[in-house]
Amino acid sequence: MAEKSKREAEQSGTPADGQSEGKIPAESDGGERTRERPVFRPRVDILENDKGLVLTADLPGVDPDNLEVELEKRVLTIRGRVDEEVPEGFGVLYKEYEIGDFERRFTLSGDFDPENVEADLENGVLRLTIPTAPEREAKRIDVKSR
Amino acid sequence: MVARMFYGTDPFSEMRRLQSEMSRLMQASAPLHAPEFPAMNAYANQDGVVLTAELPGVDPERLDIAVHRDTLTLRGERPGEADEAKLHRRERLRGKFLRTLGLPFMVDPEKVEARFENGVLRLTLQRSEEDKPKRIQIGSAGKSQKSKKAESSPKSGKSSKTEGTRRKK
Repeated sequence: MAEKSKREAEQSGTPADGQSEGKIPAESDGGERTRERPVFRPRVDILENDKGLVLTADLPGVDPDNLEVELEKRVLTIRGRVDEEVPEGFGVLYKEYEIGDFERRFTLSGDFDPENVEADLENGVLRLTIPTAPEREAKRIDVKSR
Repeated sequence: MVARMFYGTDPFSEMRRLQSEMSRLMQASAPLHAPEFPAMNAYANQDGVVLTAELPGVDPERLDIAVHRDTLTLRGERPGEADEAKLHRRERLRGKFLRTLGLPFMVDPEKVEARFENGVLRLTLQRSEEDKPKRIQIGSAGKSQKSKKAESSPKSGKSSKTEGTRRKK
């Protein structure tokens, strides 16, 4: 059926190198940020089933209150703020990873129902269930032949 | 038109490319170790060390943390989506991990504090008492009194245990 909706076109840039460890810096197409800190692209898994899309994203350090998920028209935006500070009275011994916010945008190909998107954040992993728009079935027009 | 001949369509594209190339090189040269999972940050002071690691999706119940002398071992598993035919993207890394980390000093295994919040592990380790540097006092009556005063004033928030052992000496 929805052969098209299978394809998830990223709005910007090259696909993430998913095979190596480490965080992936976000594309800077959204302009400069007001907060002076790095922004990363969360790693995602996307799968499709008969109900719609299931998107899983790694957002370590993002509190549910600091997470924004937006689906406008066909653009899905995920933004997560990370409030992690250096513990008080401690100095940095070494840093193997950078701390920063997460942001990523997808263009969904296919119609989805923005009203019924389910989001669940657990242990730093966001699970989004995006159902296929019900209108798609209704829009079909049968041509009567006499 | 002339500008185009020299710089292509975007005169700044070359500059941007150089810039990103530079930062990539800088980043590549910074950590000398092979990327291991989980990557950890360490913060230290005189009395202890705080370690953090990003472990999204890891079940804290099934995370094995072991501390022995000055070595920390983390063991766990990153779950992944089941293998389904209609998987469009797979970027999240999966599988078992084991990480051993050398600490800058011996730690007290009884005083390890572990917190797991929003997929971030934070370990607070206390330096073991035997490992702490001892201040040696000169045994003249007048001087020892003076140094005692100086000792107690600067860090009032210190644990009473530290103070206790020092006084015993």
